[in-house]
Amino acid sequence: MLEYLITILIVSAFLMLAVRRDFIAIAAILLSFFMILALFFQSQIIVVRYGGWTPPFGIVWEVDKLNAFIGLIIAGMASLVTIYSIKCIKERRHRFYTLLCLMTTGLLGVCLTGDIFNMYVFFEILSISSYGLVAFFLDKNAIEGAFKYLVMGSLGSSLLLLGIAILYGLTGTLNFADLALKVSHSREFMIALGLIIGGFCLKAAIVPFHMWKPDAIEGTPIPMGALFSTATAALGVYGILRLLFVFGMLQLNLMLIILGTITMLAGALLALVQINVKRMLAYSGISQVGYVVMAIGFGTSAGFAAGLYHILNNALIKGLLFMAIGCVIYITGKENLDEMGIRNRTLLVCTGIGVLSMAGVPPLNGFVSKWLIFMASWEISPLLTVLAITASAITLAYGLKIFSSLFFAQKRAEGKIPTTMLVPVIILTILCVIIGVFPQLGLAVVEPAVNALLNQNQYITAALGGG
Amino acid sequence: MFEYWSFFILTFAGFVGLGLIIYLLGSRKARAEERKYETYTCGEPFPRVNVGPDNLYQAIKKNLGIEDIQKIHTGKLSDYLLWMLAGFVVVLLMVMML
Amino acid sequence: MLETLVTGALLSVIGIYCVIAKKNLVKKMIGLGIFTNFIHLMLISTGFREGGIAPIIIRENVGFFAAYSVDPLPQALVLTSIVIQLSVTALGLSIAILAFRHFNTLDTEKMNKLKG
Repeated sequence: MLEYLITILIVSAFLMLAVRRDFIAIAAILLSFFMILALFFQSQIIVVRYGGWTPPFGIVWEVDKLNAFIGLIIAGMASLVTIYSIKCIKERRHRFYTLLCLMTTGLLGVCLTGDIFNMYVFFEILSISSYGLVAFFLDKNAIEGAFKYLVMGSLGSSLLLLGIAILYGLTGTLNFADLALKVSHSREFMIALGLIIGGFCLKAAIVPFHMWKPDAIEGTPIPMGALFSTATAALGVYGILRLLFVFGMLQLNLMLIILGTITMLAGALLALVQINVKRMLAYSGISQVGYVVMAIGFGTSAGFAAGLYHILNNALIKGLLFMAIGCVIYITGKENLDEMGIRNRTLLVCTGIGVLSMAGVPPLNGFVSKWLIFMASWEISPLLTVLAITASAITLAYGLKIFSSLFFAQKRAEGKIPTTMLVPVIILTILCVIIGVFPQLGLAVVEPAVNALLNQNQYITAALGGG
Repeated sequence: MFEYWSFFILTFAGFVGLGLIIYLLGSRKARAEERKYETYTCGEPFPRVNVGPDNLYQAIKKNLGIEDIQKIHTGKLSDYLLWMLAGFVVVLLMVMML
Repeated sequence: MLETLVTGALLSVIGIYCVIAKKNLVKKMIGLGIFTNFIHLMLISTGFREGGIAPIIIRENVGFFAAYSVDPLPQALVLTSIVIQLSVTALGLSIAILAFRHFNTLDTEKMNKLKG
């Protein structure tokens, strides 16, 4: 069943270009979401050998609980964005859906594969279609954001390919399971690991590789802003985790904690002083990924659980905020915070829940993951807990700035928001509240992913040992 | 069971109450004109400061040095690439030393 | 092997210098192409064997082929990567054309409207 996933998405991308009917893309992406949901409930590791060649000589796709978790976030956000952009993108919508199908192909391909060069190929499919999506509106801001992202992104991908080349030259294999058996922790392997982690940090927008992200999100349409801040960031963190997994959960604690803390604070501080709301939400997304990288850097299983839970919450909250802001931009047509007043009860409740959840207020889901991060950081060093609480306070500050600019402005516009734009916002709000009130639901999704991350033998025997 | 949930129920009720107050405040009619009265400052000239989204947190901006961080994001691609290369060098050095 | 390393070092330095220090957008794309060529050179050179023959299979004497040919797998990887680099260069140059239409210049120092 898994073999047909990429076929369906690529074929629908080309069909969209030829036939220009929207339902092809919507059906393909929703079908892929249900496939990933079905994969998520399997109990064993699923291995697909393409062409019948056994690993390590053939390309293999291996889906354990970590892959299924990240795949669920990516496919869920992609399907919500697809429903959202039926009304949000007004012209040339078939080209948008073509590029969106290709981008979903790239995202799901990187997430589900078990071969490192296959991962690079799908990473490039994702990158190239996202360069096209950033330049979608073809006006000044979009072109400027697009070429900045293109030059930085392709330099980062080239360095990632250099890391893969060094790994192949040292071990002679390209399969993740086989690499896990053959790597050691000597100097040359560390250079390759550093290059590959740098390439994934650029996709996840971690300081100092984050410079493209605010400019790109300022130029791109709002549904793409949502997908970049949630799915691409989750994919960057997944890449770092999978490489650490191949190297036997190497303890890169100091580097990840330093990078994560600087990202967390710099993103939050810069989001305080922005005028353009898309740029502010981009910096806010950068700051939340900083929390995740800091939590992963702790190295304990509590840290990994907190980090993975925060990726899930970041996807829900950032998706909610970007889509709510998109509804406001649809009505008022303006992007500056001082001209965006609006009167709408549904948006008031949903944006309020999004802002409170991002700041970490109790019965919502942001509180659960921030509490787990604070608890995990207290054991490492109390200074990190203080810095994390400071960043949370700054997050509350700029969240309240967004909320008051939208709903307490002098002039407030009125308008009707289309139902297909409100439905994803309401779905994400309900999910935020449910995961907040019953945190066991979120932990039931995250715990198997953490176990799959720490348990290397199951992965290796599923790929290489089975028949 | 109730003791475990009482904390969450009280906080939830508190925030629902706060949300109701905000909702009632927000559903008032928007004011059509600004208030027009002068502040009496003993004859001194009084600066009229309009607090918009860019200078809402002006004190924090001046004291914490956010303007220096904003100067780093110049908008030129060459500077972005230099920072990216510096980041790669730092990541490589830290990975090799550990 | 030594010639490969020296050529690779020169190509990488020239490539990264062109991408970072040149202000013209088309020169940056050329630098990116040079840097990607360096990486392809490094990939192919991982399969090197002293006195090796080209990896085209000899059906009559497979043992001779297996003993003497260089590694064909990195050459397949480089073929894939050349196609990817082609797509990125094509996209980059079309974005450069659109940038010239909007800004009337190809100087990236002047295209800094989005900052902060």
